[in-house]
Amino acid sequence: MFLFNKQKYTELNDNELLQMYRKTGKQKIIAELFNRYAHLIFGVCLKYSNKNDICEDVVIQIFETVMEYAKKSEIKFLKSWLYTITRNECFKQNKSLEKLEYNDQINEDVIDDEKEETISDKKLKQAINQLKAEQKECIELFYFEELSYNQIAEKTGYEIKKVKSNIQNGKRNLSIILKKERDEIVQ
Amino acid sequence: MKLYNKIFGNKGDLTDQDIEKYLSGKANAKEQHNIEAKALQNQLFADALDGYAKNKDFNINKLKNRTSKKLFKNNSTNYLVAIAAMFALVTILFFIPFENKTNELAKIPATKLPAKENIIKEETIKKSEKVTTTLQKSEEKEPVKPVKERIITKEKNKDLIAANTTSNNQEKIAKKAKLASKVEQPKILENNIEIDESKSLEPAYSAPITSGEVMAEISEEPVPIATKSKRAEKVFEDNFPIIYLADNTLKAANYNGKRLPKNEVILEDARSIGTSARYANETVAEAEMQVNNEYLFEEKYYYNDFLDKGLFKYKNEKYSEAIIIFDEILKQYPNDINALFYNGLSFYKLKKYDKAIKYFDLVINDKINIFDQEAEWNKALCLLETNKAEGEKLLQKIADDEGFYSQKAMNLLNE
Repeated sequence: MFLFNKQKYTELNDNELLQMYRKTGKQKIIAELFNRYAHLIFGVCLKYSNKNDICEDVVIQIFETVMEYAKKSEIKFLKSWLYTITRNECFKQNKSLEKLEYNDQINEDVIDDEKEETISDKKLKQAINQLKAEQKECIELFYFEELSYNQIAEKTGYEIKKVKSNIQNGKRNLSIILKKERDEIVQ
Repeated sequence: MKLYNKIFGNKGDLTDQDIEKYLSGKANAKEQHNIEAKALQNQLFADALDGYAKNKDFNINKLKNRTSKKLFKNNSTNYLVAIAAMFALVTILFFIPFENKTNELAKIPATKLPAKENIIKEETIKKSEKVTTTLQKSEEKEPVKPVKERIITKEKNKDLIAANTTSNNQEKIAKKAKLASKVEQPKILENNIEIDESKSLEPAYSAPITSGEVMAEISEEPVPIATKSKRAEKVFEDNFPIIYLADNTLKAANYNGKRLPKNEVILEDARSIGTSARYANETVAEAEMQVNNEYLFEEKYYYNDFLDKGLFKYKNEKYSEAIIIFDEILKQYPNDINALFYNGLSFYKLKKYDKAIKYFDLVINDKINIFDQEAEWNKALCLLETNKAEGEKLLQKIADDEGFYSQKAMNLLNE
């Protein structure tokens, strides 16, 4: 039977899982989160630490922290929070990285679907036109023509790294521009 | 699709299969684009992909398996603790009724019993006399009895009771004692600790005074089983508790507590997980109690939470998704008034009036009457779409009933 079987965990989103974990303290919920994010935390560790063998320890450390912390406190944006504590854990191992402060406010990657739908195509195009030419070109090729990095690199002649950073920075700048406009309207 | 969503819409999680495919070079251009778009969503995904790109020969699954074993290893041991706790509780509960029965037997004068039973009893008395005398000596040496010995004495008591079953009077008393033992469990447990051995060894004549008094008090006011269940039914029909869910906007029947007897499912669920690590160092009894509390808590939590989810879907006008959730509830609790009523409303909103009417009929015919007016009103609205004459008839009835919807019904009729 069904209402309460194993599948329920995979259907819930992060916040629902965390809320349930706060109420019940079930390890199985953490196991589900582990399934979702462990490989990503490994990846971040691989990027930031020089020794591959500490990655395992870091992942265990991170999930023990999640178990403890999530029991008492609310985590609004799990992905950003995990990223921050993972980087800080890597920082302990590798002193050359700078420490990050976790802040709910800076998480631009989390989108509120309902609010954002009000932005029209016209406004978006205006915002894209404010970007640098390189960024604008890459963003349009990537998101509207749905090309891969390789294809964009071939088409434009930029290096793949350059394409990637253009898209990343372009996207960030775009959301900053849109946010500014929204704030102006509110005022 | 809006351009904005093309850039900022949710592209989904970056899975380990995605990463493997991307790095192995097997993905085609379209798939590459999709994975790259996923990775661009946030820093965690982006850095993870970078990290694997730096170390391409990394086996993700192997590492994941190894770490998850290390992280969740204490599950199996806690599982054993839970079983041990269960077993201990079951054995304790198993012995309580017998001890109380024997106490009651002790209170009845031997002369009242039929002759045959008397003889048997005398025999058993003699036997137990022997046992007690021998055991009294050993008791001084070793006061704590191992469990095995207790089981043997219990078997003797069983024989005793079996010999007396022909007497109706005693059967009744035994039943009463059983009931009383349920009510007064904590007290009896205390008594057990004090006079456990003597009680079970000499049931026939020297009944322990303390527990005897307790029993007498209880049997004077018999436990009203019949009236109790009647009372429960009444609550069910009249003043069924109400709860407001989905941000306090939607009314629902509050089944808390009433869903408790059916919590086998939750038990199953909890068993497969084992007890969590925080019970590791507590005594078996405490762990057992906490596990029990958790079951109760979980049952309440799950049902209302699930219902809440469905109501939110309904509130956000995602009716077909809401119906899926309510159907899940109905699978387990076929008479669930909340699921029936909101299923009806959802079908009404989806303009499937026949189905909606079926659900509203079920709601109206149910014992619980908190949704009756709403169901009638909505049924009338459905009927107006399909069978106008009957719809107007029902509207007239609602208008005559002077309920919450009578004014609305009147207005609708006048149009």
